Amino acid sequence: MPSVCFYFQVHQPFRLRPFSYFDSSPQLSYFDDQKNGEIARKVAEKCYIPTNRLMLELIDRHQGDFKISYSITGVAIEQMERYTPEVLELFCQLAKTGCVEFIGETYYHSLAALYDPAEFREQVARHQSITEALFGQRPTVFRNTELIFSDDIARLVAPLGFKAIIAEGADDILGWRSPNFVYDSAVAPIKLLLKNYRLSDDVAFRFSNRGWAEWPLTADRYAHWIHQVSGNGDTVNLFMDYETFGEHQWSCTGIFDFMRSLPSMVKQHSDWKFSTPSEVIGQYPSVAPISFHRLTSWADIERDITAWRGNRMQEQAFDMCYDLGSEVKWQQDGALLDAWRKLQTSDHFYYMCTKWFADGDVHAYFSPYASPYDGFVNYMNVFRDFRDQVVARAGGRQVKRAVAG
Amino acid sequence: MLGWEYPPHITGGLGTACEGLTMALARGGIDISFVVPALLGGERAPHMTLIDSREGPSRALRKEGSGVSLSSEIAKSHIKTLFGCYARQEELEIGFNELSQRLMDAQVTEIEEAEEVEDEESLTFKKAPHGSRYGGNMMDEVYGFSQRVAQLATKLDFDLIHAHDWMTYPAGVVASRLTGKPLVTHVHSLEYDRSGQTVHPTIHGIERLGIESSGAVIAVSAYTRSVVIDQHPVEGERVFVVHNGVSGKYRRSFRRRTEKKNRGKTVLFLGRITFQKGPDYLVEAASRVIRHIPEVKFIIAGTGDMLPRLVGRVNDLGLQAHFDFPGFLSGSDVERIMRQSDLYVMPSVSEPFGISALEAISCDTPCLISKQSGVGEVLRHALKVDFWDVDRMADLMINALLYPSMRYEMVRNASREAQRLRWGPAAHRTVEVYRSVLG
Repeated sequence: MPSVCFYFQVHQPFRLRPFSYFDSSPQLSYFDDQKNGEIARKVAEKCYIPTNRLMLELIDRHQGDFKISYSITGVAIEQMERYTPEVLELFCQLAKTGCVEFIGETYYHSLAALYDPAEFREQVARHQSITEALFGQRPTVFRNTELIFSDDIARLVAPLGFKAIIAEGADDILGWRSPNFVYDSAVAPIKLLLKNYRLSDDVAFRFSNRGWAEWPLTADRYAHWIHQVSGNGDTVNLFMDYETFGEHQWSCTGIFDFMRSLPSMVKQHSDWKFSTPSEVIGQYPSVAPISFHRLTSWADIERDITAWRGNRMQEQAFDMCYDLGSEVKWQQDGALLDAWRKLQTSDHFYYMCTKWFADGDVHAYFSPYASPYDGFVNYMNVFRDFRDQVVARAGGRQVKRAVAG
Repeated sequence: MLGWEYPPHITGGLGTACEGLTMALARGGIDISFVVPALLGGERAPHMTLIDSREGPSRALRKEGSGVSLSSEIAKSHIKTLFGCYARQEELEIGFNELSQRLMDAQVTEIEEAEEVEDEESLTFKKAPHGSRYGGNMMDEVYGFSQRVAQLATKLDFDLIHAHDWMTYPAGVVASRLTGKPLVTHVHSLEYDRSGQTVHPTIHGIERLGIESSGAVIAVSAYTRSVVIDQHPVEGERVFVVHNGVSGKYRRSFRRRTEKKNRGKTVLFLGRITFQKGPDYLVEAASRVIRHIPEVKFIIAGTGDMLPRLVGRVNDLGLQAHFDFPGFLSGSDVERIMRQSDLYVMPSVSEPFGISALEAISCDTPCLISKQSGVGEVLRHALKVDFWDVDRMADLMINALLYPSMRYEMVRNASREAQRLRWGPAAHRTVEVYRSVLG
């Protein structure tokens, strides 16, 4: 009996305020509270509140037969606490239904896995703690930021006690194999749940595209595509940003009505059911080991990490950021540590992405800056000042210089 | 088509743009007779019929190379005509009176009533950047050209008149009235771009006359289109944007360059030292940069009426050691200095296009341009700032000088953008404009 496995990503970064080379902030106020509050309220209104209500309604109507999972970043949770507590309340209600699983990740939605393993482990532990405190569940399945994954990351995550990792079902990794089974990592004792990107992206990206041959997509037809997997797979992993509902695909596209009728359509075929990631790995055997010999992600056509680390500005900004880590930690100053970690959030580096010609529209849509250069300049201005503040708090002790010039 | 100059005899970008556009139009099947005030020898235009307004079609350089080449002796005697773009103020005044007496109709008389120019800056600006070498009575040339084109118009067979910049608009208007054929005016720059608020009333009036008499107006950028609509009473739907293409030398592919060998960092300004080019804003921003990057050097290349004031300001700030004023540069000197610089800054107050930014890119030098520059519409991989925002300008310059990673990415991506700026799409859109006026 195959399953549909939903996992939704919930994330909002702490966006930076406009910060010039000539600015200085001893109070470390680098974040644009007003804009972040505005965006938090807007997304809550368009997406989080109506979608959470819809999910509660579906769980109620299907009496435990409709199941979903979330990963909510720590920085998103902090902003919900500050700006939209009603959203957090709805997530708590969802947690109480018993039909919702919470997934683990880095608290700061960072790329620490690639730069600083100790820092990565701390951020993952912090996220497990807040998830458990708020929702009463300690995550046992892991997803890394933007589904960034490789064999090295499998080795890093397996010892932390997770049973499975969520990753992209990238074509070049899978080869002839299907994403619709559970796999083992080839290098570490941990299972893999791979995203069925065709079916996921039909909803997440193509749903409202009038140029798409399948537009307008109905729940009936979509359920039919899922049913075609029967006999040829154990699980259809539909992984996407939660903001798909109401934010990326506006309400007027019919996305809510689509989602409202989808569970019934899926269950019309009596073989099919919904399972959470933990249930999937508990129910189905892993069919083979798979090696992720390169860094994959769920972004862009290339399914690689070049949206975050694909040019020299991004590399320089990452190096500058992580080179300061030991100094920040040595000071044991909570405010410094928190600011440094919020400056690790992947979005800051995404805004510096220059590959605008192949899939630029997506990048342009999600950036608060007019250009990747403005994004880089603002980040570097903030980080230089942050480094100065670290030095100042160290009493002028020499800090390792991370950046040329 | 009516032009004022044609390669190799050019003073600015106008002749080059006309060459690029006509070649692409000809490839698209458009039959072009291109009239210039005079042919000077050495012109090559096998794609169209190139006509000397004094000689007429009988001695034209005909399409497919059957034309007559002119002797160099004739060429010399008419060099004034060709390079007459920047005339002296007093010459303009004479021309203006003659024009108002002799030219056309009531609409021109309105121009006469416009206020006299009083601002000294504007007066001195009218001097040629090359000194008085290319003087001559500008308005006489413009008027004479219009009279000769009027005679030619009745002898030539065409469907539409396409006139480039104000010098050819009177000719275009006369030809259109005589033949009843529609006029398309092409705005490469406006008097406003050259002189700011203190526009010369005659030139402004001629621009207005041309634009009013046109079935359609082509602007070289959306920015210029907005200036046209702002400066002249014309309905927006008659003004179309056609971005220039650029010639092959600016479309050279990016080479993985080695870092420039300068010890200190160099910032370059290159252009006329006039109010409209905004060099004074750069100096103010530079003073902020120097406080933080003491080893930086600013090169201000070019001449113009604002130069003495600019040098004075630099001296007042005590920053002489950080500035070089090498004067007017051309040819290989331009390329060398662009190559040596770490950042090219074009802080124009009003810039219809600004091809020098693309020239800098072709020399592997990243650009900081004002948001009031048309080239920004096709060059996304540049730093952009409002010309008046000197703090932001300084902020961006400092970061550009600090981080080779950013300079590298800007040049790498911008040269890819420049690769795509071809004349074919420009010709395609021009033909669409033609269709709109021909019905």
